[in-house]
Amino acid sequence: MSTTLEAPFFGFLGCLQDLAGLAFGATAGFVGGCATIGAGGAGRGDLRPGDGDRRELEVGALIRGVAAEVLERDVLDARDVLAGAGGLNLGGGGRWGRDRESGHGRGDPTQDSVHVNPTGPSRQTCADHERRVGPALHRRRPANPVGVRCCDPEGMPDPLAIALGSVPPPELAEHLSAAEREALAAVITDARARQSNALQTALDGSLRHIPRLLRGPVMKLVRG
Amino acid sequence: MSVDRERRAEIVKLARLLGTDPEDLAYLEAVPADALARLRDQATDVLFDADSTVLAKMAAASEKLPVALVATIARHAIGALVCARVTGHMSPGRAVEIAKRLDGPFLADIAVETDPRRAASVLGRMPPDRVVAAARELMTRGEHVAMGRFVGHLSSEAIRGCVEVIEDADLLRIAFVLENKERLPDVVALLDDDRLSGVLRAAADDDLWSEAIDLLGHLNAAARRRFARLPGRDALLALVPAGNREEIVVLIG
Repeated sequence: MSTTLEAPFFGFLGCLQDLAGLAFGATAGFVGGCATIGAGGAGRGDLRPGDGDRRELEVGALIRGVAAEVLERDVLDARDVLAGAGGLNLGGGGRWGRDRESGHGRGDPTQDSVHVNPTGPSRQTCADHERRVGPALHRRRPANPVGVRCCDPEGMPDPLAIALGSVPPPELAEHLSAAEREALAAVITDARARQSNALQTALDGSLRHIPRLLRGPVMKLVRG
Repeated sequence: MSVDRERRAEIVKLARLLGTDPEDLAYLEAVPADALARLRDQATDVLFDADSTVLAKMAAASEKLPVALVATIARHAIGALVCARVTGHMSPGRAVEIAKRLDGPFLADIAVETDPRRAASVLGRMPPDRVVAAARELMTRGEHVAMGRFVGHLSSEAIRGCVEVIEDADLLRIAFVLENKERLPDVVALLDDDRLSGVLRAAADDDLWSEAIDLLGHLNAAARRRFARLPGRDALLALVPAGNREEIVVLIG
């Protein structure tokens, strides 16, 4: 038994799609003079061909397809982050997205929904995540700690992976307890914070040694 | 024994990087040394990539100021940790000019915090006398692990200068934790026969046979032959405990 929470997810997708729709709509309007295509970007995917011109409809569909391909990765990434952070089990994907595993488009409207277990947050395990997105994405080195793809066996993001911003050596998971990994992550985070503090102190302290005339230009160089 | 020492060395390096006490990381003693080395690389990347924009700007700003002033600011305001982080962002020539004006103890402080991989171009150009001054200070502090990280990045002249001021027992300890052990034959080539004999005697005096075996194991055939042809070879071999003698004899032939 699950409760369907379509609105927030579609709202999120709608924002992304609106952005893409506006961008592609504007481009298409410039190239082909298809004003109705630009109007399509205002909605959540409901193409309104204006006076029903078939050619406009086809061009609009083509541009929307390109937009969907561009969006697909970001939508899936956002779903991964949401799933990891809130225990949400996101069924299906974006209206225009393709299932990475099957490679098919999602025509089933029941898949375009967000499900949450009413008895408590459903945890996405590491295996689930890997099965869903594939080993390459699961182990992908992230651009930032929020996007870390590695999960620990209990299904929560590994704090060490977050502190390192990349997947730690697997031997650590074998030889260290969760508490020890957490302690190590805290040491790394502390070191990083200490370095940032030292940097700030150094910047402030160095001013005292710089002649007044040069302080302004130097600080402008350093702080931008 | 050897494996334990390798792990211990890695933990010390990691603790040094993270600014903590090695005892606080004692739970890592169960982790293999190569995994700890990879963890240290990752942690190094995290720390050196953090604040890199500000560090790069600091390096750019330092280029606009006189070298003497930058050296003063580095010593009295910036501190060793930030100096070590900024070094990789500076032009090597400029960094060397500044280093020439820093004293041995402060250079040693910076060396402890530096990632040699990111400062390789600076280290290769460091004047031997400055390197030796820092090495002397590091020896006084017993920083064998820190010294072992640099050998692969220093010029031959700088290594030659360091070898002259480092005691035989310390040479063994540094060689054991060296990160670029392929340079060991080059280092041994700088030692005359008296120093080689002294190294074996130091192993006997300080019970450093694990370190001695590790050193011999990383030498090429030519370097091992030098040990085999040492004057008083039999007397030296008599110093080796029975448990290690066979291994030593096999290594030096």
